[in-house]
Amino acid sequence: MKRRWLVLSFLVLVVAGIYNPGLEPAFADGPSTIVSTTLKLDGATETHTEGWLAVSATLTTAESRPVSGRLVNFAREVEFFGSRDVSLGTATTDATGVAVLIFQPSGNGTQVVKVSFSGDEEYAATETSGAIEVVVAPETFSPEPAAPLAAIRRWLSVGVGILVVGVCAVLLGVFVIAVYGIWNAGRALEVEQQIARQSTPSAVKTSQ
Amino acid sequence: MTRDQMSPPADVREAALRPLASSGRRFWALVALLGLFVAWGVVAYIAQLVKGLGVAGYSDTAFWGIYEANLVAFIGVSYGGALVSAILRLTQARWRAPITRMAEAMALFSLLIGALFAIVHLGRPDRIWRVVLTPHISSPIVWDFVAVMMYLAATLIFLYLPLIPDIAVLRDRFRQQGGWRVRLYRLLALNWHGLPQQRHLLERSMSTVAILIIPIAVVVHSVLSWAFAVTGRPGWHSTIFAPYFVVAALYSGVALVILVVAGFRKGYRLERFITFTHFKYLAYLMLTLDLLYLYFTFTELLTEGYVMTEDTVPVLEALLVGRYAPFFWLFILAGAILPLLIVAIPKTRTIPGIVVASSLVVAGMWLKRLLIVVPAVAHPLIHQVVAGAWGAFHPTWVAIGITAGAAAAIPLLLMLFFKFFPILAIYEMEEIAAEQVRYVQASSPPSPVVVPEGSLTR
Repeated sequence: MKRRWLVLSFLVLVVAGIYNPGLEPAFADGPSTIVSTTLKLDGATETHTEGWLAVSATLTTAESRPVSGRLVNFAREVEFFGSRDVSLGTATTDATGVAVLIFQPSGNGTQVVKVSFSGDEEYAATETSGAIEVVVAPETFSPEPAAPLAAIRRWLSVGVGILVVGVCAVLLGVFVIAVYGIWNAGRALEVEQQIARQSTPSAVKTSQ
Repeated sequence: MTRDQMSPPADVREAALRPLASSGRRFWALVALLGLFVAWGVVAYIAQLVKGLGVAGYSDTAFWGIYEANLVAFIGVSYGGALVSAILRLTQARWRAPITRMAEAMALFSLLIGALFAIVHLGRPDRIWRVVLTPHISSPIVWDFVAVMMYLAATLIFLYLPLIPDIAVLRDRFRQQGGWRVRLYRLLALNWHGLPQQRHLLERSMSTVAILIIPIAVVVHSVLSWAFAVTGRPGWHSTIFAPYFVVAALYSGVALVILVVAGFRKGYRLERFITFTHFKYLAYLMLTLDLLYLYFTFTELLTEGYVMTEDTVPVLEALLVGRYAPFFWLFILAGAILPLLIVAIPKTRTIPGIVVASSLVVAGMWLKRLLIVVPAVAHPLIHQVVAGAWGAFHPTWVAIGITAGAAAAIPLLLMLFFKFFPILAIYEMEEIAAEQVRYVQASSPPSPVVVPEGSLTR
């Protein structure tokens, strides 16, 4: 009796396995199903190293079973000649399905992070995005240099400015002096000649 | 140089004023041809103004291209013209006199055209005022603007001062004719009568401007190079870019001086004044600069290629063995090695040979400027992280038209300029000739006094 139930159960399973249109036949190559997955962005936490953040995401199946040993891509949405994804890096999921990426954010504030799993033969691709709040980002760009450098830069600007103005002044000064001097000397001669021309006829008249 | 070659013949005035006489059909045909190219450039620029920089082949992955290369190349040749004239003047090189006017005029016109490329490159010319009204002192573009304006003023003065006595010659010659031309000459001649005081002032001011123009020109080209070098972009961020650019400017500038001098020598039959010796000396200068430029190129590639930083590798690979390699090696062969050989080998060191070498240098150096700009821009700066590939700059008819128009504008402006002003530096040539005569008289032994027989007894 017990054996008959076992045989019947086996037959039901076989028939269900073969004739269920949602399932692939048992004799087909490769895995019988691609399991759908979900990704959850867990947020960011400050690491022990100053300025570095650990952002984590959990990869699970639809039934919330953790998926381990899979590569998860982390990217950030930026505006750079249009909207683009800037890759932050990749991390592999552990036994609990958690992938942790440690990275150095380039700025403070809210940042939209995209996490994605590109899928494989066993698990389907998935992606999600979420905002993380970065509050410990280091100053990677310092508009104002350190005090000694700032002083040098300031005085350098002043020095270069004085030099430029000085060179321009000398150049224009030389030009103005040359133009005025040449014109004036020539004008004096012309005036002298004019006076000589005017005085010559009268001298002639006097002599006559 | 023999005394024969140094002394200008008596008809120097006639030769210098030859272009002012009525021109033949060939002159006007050439003016029309060059004018057509300029018109093409103007039409292309209008198209760019209406449709935007995209029609010139610019994009977000190739945002600097042919215009930036033209800006550097045209201002560079201007630098060559000014410096050749200034250095030869300061070193009292007597052979300079017949070529200085052409070199100085070329310097001015190529600078004017080169500076216009800053506006063309800007895309929106109405924004140029922002450089004046709201300048940002830490921007190399502002430094460029200041340096180029200063250099423009210096070049204009450097051309005008030696012209004053020559304009006086024109004023006296055309005095009887009257009209606007004579009024212009009278105004520009500044009452010049060749008085000792006037000559002294002119000599002093010309020497001062010649001294000043050298550092100004160095500053201009250094600043141009810093527009590239002070960025963090691989291929541009280099400490030797300033002297590298200065040498490049001199190299291409001397080559263009040779071409301009050869063209006008042929066109106005100035063979008696501009001899093979002038070409030979200029070619030697070009050869020295060629070697210097090759040395800089080698140094630049060696230091970057030896360290092979992650960022630089793609640009270097693209330049040396990749997509830009054919152009780069074409420049090395045709723009540097071949001119060097042509000038170095006595058999090919003839006037046509030197002209061919100079043409290769001018074309090669323009290509080199394009190779400085394009590969570094096309290489994605954040390629590791941004989903994108190499950009590419493909010049369109608009970019080519504007470039061709600008290149044609320089000889056209020179031809028109010499229709109104002497092509040879009359005053300088006559001064040098007079000095020569004084020198010969002073160095020759006193002629024996021939006393007529019996005169002492009278």
